[in-house]
Amino acid sequence: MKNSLKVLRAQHDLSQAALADRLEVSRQTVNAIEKGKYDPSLPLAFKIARLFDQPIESIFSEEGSP
Amino acid sequence: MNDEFEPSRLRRTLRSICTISPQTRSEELWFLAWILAWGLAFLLNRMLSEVAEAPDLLQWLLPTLTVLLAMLAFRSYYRFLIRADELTRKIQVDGVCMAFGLGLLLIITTVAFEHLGMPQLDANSIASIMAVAWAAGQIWGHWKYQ
Repeated sequence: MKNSLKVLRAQHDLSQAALADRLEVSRQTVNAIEKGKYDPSLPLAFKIARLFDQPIESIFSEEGSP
Repeated sequence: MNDEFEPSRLRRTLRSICTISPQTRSEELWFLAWILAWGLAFLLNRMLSEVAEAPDLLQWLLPTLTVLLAMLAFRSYYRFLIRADELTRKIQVDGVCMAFGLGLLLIITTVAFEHLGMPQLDANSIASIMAVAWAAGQIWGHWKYQ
């Protein structure tokens, strides 16, 4: 799965640590999601979508999809 | 935002292993305290077993204390696992799985080849190997997600 978390984070001028704090996860989790090494659970994905006020499918998409 | 500087993967792995998360700080510190106390009690217990003339009270007290400290360490670890975020929990479960699998494999192997004269491992050796496998699983898990 690919995602635009890094771009969104940059747009909101948040560090990985600050975002991790807001999402109540570790910084390592944010880093792993951004690098595509870890796919978040649905509750965490929804939390990310809510935080950035975006639909979940605009942040996360399948690998190979446009 | 200061994410441009990217330290090496090894450094990132070590940093994530050593980082105490704010959500689980209390459990992690208690686990560390109980495991160190348990290790000390375990060593004293082993030393006591070599002293033939140890007082009766001490012969009961020290093993009871060892078990109690191990239980407290287990409780802290379980609480830590429940409160940890999802990736940390996944890494921990991977480590526990490796330790359990290796421990079971060792027991099965030594029992299966017992009739051919393979030396049997005692409980302490199996526990030590499982602890090392657990630690290796943690390091591997942290490395994998960097």
